[in-house]
Amino acid sequence: MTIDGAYLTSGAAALHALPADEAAEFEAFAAQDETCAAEMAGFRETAAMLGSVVAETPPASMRANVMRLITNTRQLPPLTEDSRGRHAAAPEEAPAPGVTSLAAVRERRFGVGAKWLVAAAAAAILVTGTLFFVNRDSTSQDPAVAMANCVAQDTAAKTVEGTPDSMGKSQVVVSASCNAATFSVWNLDPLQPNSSYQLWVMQGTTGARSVGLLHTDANGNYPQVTAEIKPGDTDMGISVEPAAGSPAPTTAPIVVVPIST
Amino acid sequence: MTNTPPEGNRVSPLRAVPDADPSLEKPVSERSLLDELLGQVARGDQQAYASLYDQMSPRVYGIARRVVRDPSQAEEVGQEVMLEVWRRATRFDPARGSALSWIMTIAHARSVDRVRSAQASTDRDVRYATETIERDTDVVVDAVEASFERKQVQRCLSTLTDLQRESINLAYYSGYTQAEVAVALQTPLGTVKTRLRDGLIRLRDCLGVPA
Repeated sequence: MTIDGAYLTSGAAALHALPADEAAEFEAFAAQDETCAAEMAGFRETAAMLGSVVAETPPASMRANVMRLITNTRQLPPLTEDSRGRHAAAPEEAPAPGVTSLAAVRERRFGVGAKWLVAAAAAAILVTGTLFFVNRDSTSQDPAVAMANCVAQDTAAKTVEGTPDSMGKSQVVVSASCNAATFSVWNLDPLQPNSSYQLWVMQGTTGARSVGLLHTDANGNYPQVTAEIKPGDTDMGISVEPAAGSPAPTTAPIVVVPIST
Repeated sequence: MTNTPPEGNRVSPLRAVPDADPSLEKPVSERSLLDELLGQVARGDQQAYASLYDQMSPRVYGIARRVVRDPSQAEEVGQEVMLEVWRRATRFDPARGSALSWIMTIAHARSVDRVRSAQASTDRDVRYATETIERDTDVVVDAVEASFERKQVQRCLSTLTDLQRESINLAYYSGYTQAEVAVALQTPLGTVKTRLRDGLIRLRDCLGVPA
C-alpha cells in the first residue's frame, strides 16, 4: 500500500468498509504512522457519535446473560512494556476465556528469562512478516473468539462424545471447515493444589500440542475451549500435570475424545 | 446519574440558559465518566461494569440493530461486544481515544462481521441496497427523541454533500464494504473512498471532535 493510498483509505477503514485483506494492510500501516493513527482516532470518535444516535433499549435478557457471563470470564492481562512498545503481542496473549496461557504462567514462574523468550517470539513473528496485530484498541476480531464463533456457527460441525468409561463427561464439536474444535468437559474430580488439568490436541500416540490449563470458574465449571486442528490431529485430551503445566504430557491422559472426521 | 458541578463553579439556578450550544459539554463530561468506569472495569470491578453496561448497552445494541436488523442476532452481537469490553478492558488506553469510541468501534466491527459472514452464504441483493438508501439516509431524521447530540449529528450530516452522506450512511449504518457502496450508488470505487474520507473530515470538524 502506498502512503497516499493508505491515507485515502482511512475513511473506509474507520467505517469498517474495507475487505479483510486491505483492512489488515491498512492497520499495519496505521500502526507505524502517527498522522494516520491520529486521523483514525478522530474518525472513530466521529463514527461513535453516528452510532450513539441510533441507541435503542436492549432486551432485559441481554443484561442478565452478560452479567452472568462476566463472572465466568477471565479478563486479559494488561500488556507489558515489551509488547506495549510495538503494539503487538504474541498469540498467547489472548487465550480463550478460562484458559491460562502457559507462557503467562511460565513468565510468572521464571521471571526475566522467560519474559525475554516471549519478547523474542513476538519479534520473530514480526520479522517473518506474519500479520498478528493486536492493537491496544484493536478492532480486528480476537482470533480465539473468531475461531469459537466459527465452530459455533458451523451447521456441518460434528459432535463427538467422550467414551463413557473415561473420567467426567466430555464432548468435542469438530468443524472441518473452521479447522477447529470446541472442547467441553464436566465433573472432573478436584485436583491437589500443586497440579492442573492440561488440555492437549494429540496426534495419535506420537505427539501432543498444549492448548492450555483448565481452571474452574466460581461455579466449579470448566470453560469451553476452542483449539485449532491441523492435519494429522486425532484426539483432544486432558492430563494431570504440575500446576504450571508441562511442554508435553507427563501422565497418561484421563480423558480422550477422538476428533478425526 | 447526578451531574454535580465542582465546588466554586456552581451555577445559580436562576441564571439564564446560555446562548452557546451546550451540546458539546454534555458528551464531554459523559465521556470522562465512561473513561473512568472502563478504568475500574479493567481492575475487575463488576459494579463499575454494571454501570458501564447501563450506559453503553443501548448504544451497542442500537448499532447492532441498525446493521444486523434481526433483533435476536443483534442481541447476540450486543452480548458478544459487551463481553469483549469486559475481557479487553485492560487493553483500553485513554491516550488513544475515548472509552465511548473504543466500545462503539468494537460494536460496529462485530456488527459488520456478523452481516459479512451471513452474506458469505446468502449473497446480498444489491437492488435491495438501492431501495433502502432512502431509509438509511433519513435514519437520523426519523429518530423521535431529540437529544442535543442527536440534533447536532443531524445538523452536521445535513452539511455533507449527498454523495458523502449516502456513502457514510451505507458504510456505517448498513455495514457495506466500499465496493458495495460503489455499486449501490453507481459511483466509481475511488470516488467512494474519497467521499467516505472527506465526508468524515467534514463531520468530525462540524461535531467539534479534535482533529
